[in-house]
Amino acid sequence: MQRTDILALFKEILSRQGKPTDFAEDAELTAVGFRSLDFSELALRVEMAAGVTLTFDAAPLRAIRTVKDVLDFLVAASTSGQQ
Amino acid sequence: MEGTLIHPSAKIGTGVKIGFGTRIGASAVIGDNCVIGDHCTIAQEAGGEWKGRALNLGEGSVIRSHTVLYEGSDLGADSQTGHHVLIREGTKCGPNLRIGSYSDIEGDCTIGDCARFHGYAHIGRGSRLGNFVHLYSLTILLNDPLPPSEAMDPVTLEDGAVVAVGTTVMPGAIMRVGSFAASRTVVAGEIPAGAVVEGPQGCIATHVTFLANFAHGIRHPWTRNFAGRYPEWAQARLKALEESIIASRADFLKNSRPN
Repeated sequence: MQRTDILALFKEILSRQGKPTDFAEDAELTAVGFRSLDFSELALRVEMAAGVTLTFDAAPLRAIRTVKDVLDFLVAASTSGQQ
Repeated sequence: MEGTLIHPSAKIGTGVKIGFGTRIGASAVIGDNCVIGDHCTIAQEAGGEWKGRALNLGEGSVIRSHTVLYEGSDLGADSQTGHHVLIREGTKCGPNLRIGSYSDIEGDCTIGDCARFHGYAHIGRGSRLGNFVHLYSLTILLNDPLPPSEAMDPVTLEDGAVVAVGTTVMPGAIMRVGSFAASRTVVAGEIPAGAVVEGPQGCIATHVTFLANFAHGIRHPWTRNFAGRYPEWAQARLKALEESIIASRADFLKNSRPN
């Protein structure tokens, strides 16, 4: 799935909660108000859109801090996921 | 046993310790090696159909101070209550139950094995809870669809359901296997297996298999990270529960959409 598409979904989830979406990709997730619950919804939407089963490993999850980290993680997961 | 008041008809196993100021009623049947703290009431007299029915406390249970257990209830082996817990009559609990301080179970409830309730949980009369259910602090399980009334519409929480802190489960709600209510959610209607429900509108947000915590590198189903907190005899059942929750993902993706 394209990075821009995932970013659009990311912003849609925040926008629905009335949170600003004019952030830089290096912004910390806590600063933009992106919760772990939001990540789970985003991951679900990516899986549904990409038509693959996402697989998460613990080590990459621990490294996630910023918007960019989430996008990188989900781009990789949606590319390597099972059809 | 100094300072206790034990009815001569009460049946008390071997190795039982009873704290100061505790009263044991006539209907009490206390298993071996139980520890009962100070100022508890065990087998408090109940009215109606439960009057005179046994209060069975399974072996090895720990009942902490100021807890009140009504007659007509069963607590399985190795159960533990915190302080100031109330369990009304007609409640049937499986083994290895943990109930946090100041929680109350309002009677006629069925609670499966290895349930975990943190402090200040309120479990309305008639609630039906499966095995391995988690209730966090300040959760409220309701049962009256139009209060005040005598109508009863109790909730059902199936195996492995998790209700996070400050959540209210409305009368008649059904949380299917492995579903998850986020903190401060209002749960109503039927929540599909493995679904995550959140917010005051009780919106279906996602499936639990997508829930993760970055800092700790952990993810749901919770059995992946937390099974070690349960007894050995429960491990195979926890594994089966985990597989069931993971399997529910396919149905969720097919039939449910986030709202």
